[in-house]
Amino acid sequence: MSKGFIFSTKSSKYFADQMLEKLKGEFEAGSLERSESIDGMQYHRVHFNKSPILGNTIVFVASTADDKDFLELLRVGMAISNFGAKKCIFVIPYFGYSTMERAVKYGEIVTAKGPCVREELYADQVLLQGIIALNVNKDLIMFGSADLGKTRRVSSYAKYFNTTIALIRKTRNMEETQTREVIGDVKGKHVIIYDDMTRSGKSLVNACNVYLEYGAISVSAALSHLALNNDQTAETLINSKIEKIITTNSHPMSQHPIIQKSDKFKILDVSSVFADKIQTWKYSLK
Amino acid sequence: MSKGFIFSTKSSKYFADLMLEKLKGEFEAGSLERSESIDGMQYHRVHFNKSPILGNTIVFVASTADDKDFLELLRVGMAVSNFGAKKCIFVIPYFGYSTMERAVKYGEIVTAKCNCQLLSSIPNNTTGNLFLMLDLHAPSICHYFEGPCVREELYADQVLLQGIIALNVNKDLIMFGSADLGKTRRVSSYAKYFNTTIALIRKTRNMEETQTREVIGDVKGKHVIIYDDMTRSGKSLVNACNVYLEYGAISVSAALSHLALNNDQTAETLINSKIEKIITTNSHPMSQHPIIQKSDKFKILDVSSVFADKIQTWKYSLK
Repeated sequence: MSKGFIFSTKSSKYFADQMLEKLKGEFEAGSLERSESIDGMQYHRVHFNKSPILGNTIVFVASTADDKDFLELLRVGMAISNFGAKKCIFVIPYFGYSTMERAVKYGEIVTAKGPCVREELYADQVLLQGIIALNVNKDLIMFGSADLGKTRRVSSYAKYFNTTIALIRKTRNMEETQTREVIGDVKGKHVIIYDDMTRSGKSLVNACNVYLEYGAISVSAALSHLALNNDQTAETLINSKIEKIITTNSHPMSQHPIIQKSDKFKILDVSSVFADKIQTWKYSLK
Repeated sequence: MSKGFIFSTKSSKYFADLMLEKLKGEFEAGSLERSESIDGMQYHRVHFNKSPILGNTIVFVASTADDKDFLELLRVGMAVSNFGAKKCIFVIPYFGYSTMERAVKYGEIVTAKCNCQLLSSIPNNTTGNLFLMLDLHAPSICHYFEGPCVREELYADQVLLQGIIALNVNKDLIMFGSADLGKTRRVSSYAKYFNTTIALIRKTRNMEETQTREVIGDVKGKHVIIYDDMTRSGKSLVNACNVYLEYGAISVSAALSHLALNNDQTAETLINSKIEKIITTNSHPMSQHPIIQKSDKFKILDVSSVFADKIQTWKYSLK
């Protein structure tokens, strides 16, 4: 009977450990040695004695928050396939945009010749738990966007609470000053901004301030990915007027000490979303 | 010196003729014979004596409003490439199946992707095939093409703007609206031209499965212009119009990139609706329908120059 092994990049090890807990009995930890030479060359070696590849199911967990992780995903992924894995499952909790921005946005993962199965999973059930647990009067909540994107996602969150939405429209005038207007009515409401991610935090903080200007009682945020580009951004968010930031552990920054220590952040575990999918897949192939 | 010939499907001939006017001197009409057998088999023949292919630049104009046109585009496209065209330029003013660009329900087939894969399989000659499309339902569709073909989305906004400017309404009172929560950025950029604001329509279904619509934003006392990339059944547009009027708009007009009406009945629906004026382009063959051409409600604007200009630019850059 084929075994299963879970490998990961260094920065996604925390996520792989979470998945291992849920998939114990079916999967074991894979053994991947890595080192870096003085000029930046990456060295990898799979230890076959501990985690044989041939004929087995291999899971590789890798958020591609930076190019180094992306290349490791590619190289280790190719190697594992070449070593004769029966099945390779690539778990990418946070899919970095980096230089492949347009290809990434439109769902084409790599220029793969040939058939690979690719699926987008959803964090909404997890985020909803966090929103429900918020200490605000649920009769007064509504959902908002940070810009004109993701309107349908914002709307579907609002639908869970049978409430309405507002959106932020950014425009630049002749002098290149950016203005923001709120489309919709937020007076006297607790606005929860949904966005798929925040990187610099600017969009989120600006959106929060505009909603407050337009009469919101408070503003919180629900984000799929805490994709902060540096430590400074964490400080920016902590010092902002956003009351609470509910997000997932998809991106490695969710594990940063600044974030873990701060009361402002509620980090929810989404490893079960991936683990459940892998279980389903395994059962359907029996 | 290489010549250029413009071919088209039957339903897009009107568009090809308009392009020919603008590209006269550089391009001539291509000669394509077609017939259909009693069991529906399509026959095509390119007349080389009138429009030689070998070494020449071939433009094929084909909105893919139905599968028959799509298959003709594929087959004639492949043949023209195999006959040794130097360059093939495929002009697709209305790109059918563009709404099937993602799987909303698990297991749905993303037909837009299939169609793009098929079009990508048309052999590329010398400088590669060029696919030109207009105001796609989703910009990602350009990226569904594979391999070394050049694919580009062109825009109808400059043309539509002329129609909007010519509208007989007080421009101080106009604002732009969506028909649903999609296309918000497009609606916003039209609003920006007129330094005005936007409103959006949010549709939800309650427990009894009744669909309700609410307006996000304030339309009281305004002339609302709904922008949408297309209308097919007209339902979304007419419902949106009625909701904006309910919420206090003085009037509602529409600006659409594609008049992709799925049948004659839809034309009647729009004519009988409370929408004041519908400004749209001639990208879709339905724009040429007698019902539409005769009705005062529709203002059909010609976008063939958008494609002709692009082809001119390309030709000059290769000299």
